[in-house]
Amino acid sequence: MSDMTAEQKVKFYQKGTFTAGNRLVDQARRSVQASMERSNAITSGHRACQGCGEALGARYALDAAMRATEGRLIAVNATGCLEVFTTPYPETSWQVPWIHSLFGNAAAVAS
Amino acid sequence: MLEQIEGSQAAAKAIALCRPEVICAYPITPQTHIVEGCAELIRVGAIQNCEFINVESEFAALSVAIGSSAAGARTYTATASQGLLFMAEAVYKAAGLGLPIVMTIGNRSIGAPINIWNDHSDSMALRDAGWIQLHAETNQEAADLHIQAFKLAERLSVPVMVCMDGFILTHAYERVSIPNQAQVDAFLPSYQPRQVLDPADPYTIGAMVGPEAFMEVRYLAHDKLLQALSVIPEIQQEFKEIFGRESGGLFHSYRVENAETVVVTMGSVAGTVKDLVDELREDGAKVGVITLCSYRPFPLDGLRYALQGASKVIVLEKSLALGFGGVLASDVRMALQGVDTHVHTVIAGLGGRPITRKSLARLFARVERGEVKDPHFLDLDIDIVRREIDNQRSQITAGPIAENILREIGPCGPKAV
Repeated sequence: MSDMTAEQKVKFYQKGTFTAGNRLVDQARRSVQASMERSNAITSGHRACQGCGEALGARYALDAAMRATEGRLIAVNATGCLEVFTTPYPETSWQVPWIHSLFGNAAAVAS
Repeated sequence: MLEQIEGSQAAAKAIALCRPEVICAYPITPQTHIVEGCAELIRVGAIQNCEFINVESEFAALSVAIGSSAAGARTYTATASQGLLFMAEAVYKAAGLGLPIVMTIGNRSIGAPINIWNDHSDSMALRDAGWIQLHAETNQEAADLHIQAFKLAERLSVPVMVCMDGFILTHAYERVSIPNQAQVDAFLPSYQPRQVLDPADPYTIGAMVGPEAFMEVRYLAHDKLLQALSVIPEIQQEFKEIFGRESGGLFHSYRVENAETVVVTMGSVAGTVKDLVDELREDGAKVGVITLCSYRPFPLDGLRYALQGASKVIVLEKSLALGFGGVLASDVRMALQGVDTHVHTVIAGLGGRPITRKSLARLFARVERGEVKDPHFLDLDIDIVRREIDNQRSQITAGPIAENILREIGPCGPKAV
């Protein structure tokens, strides 16, 4: 006989932590990812599963690159989840120029 | 200016005159001299504002070309045979994205068995990818077609393959008239891309298209190539007005008026066939030859019209659909649907076997006498082939055909044709 129940109390950890992108802390303690000036090279509306790590990681990498290049960025994307969930024709969630390469040739296309 | 020049070098000079902005290619016999030629021209400053990018494979070469063209640069590459297959998925991609890349194919057979000599199996393997495919008959036409190709590609937003027979054209020294820069500039305006990767105006290029739209996209690609059937002759005419000679177009007809037998072929072998046609005409035979320049799009209506009046058509091709038969011959038969013309399939020159006037003369005579079965393989060594087939009947053989032949028959010396 088990003590486990199907219900668990849901605890909200976000408020008050330094989770990247946390806008529930006051201005002084926010990270750059929480900035309203964030470029959002990939913006909302993509079809990734909820909580997708790739979407999160891609957004971080891209927005950092956008800061580094001052917005002069073109994205080359190999075939994969990221390419598929961000560009379901006729929509796109990319706000920067973007081209789909193929497999294993993203660097070559980017050259 | 007239020059005694290697075909590859003539092509390189023609390409240089088109002011490409990016050249990226991986070497493969028999295209190497073209790309080396381009690289040298860039090195000495004969091509300005052009970046030569060394790549690690043919797949990389066309991938770089795709990125470059998508960013708005006039882009050129070249390959052959195995290299073309290695970049196969990129070939479809370039067409699907509407990128006006020009690529030379130094036609070479595809292994196994590995073979570096000329036939058309490589460009045939990618004939349905959505590229325009033009075949040069001479080195003059090869040089000219590259110049026309950039204009054609950019006008239609479709990539173009210019096919030159490996070794026979690429490595042959012929008299070629190399245009001057002013002529090419007058013919070929600078590239004005309509949709480009630019941070100032972001586009998404290459989204995933599902069942609800894919058929329409493919239909439009097909329609675009059918439009090319009109644009290719227009550009041929525009070329003639500036450069003063006939080059390119859908096909060339030679002594086809009142011909009863017409040979249909592609590429450099047309020269040999024309010489034979002249000989046969001297003897009173009513024979002519049509040399296809545009293989894709295929000029079904044009060819049908040109072949009316012929009672016999001999398709002489350097390609073979294993397990089926002639490739070009099937296309010609499609053009002649419903027409009562006898079409002969002649497979010749595979793997670079020379096609001689003597052999063709013997063949045509036998065709006239009705002795030729279909498909006919020119200058096939029947004895070796029969022995190997008999051998296969008596025991189970496995593995490569070439090696199997040697096992049973023993090493053979080269055969004189």
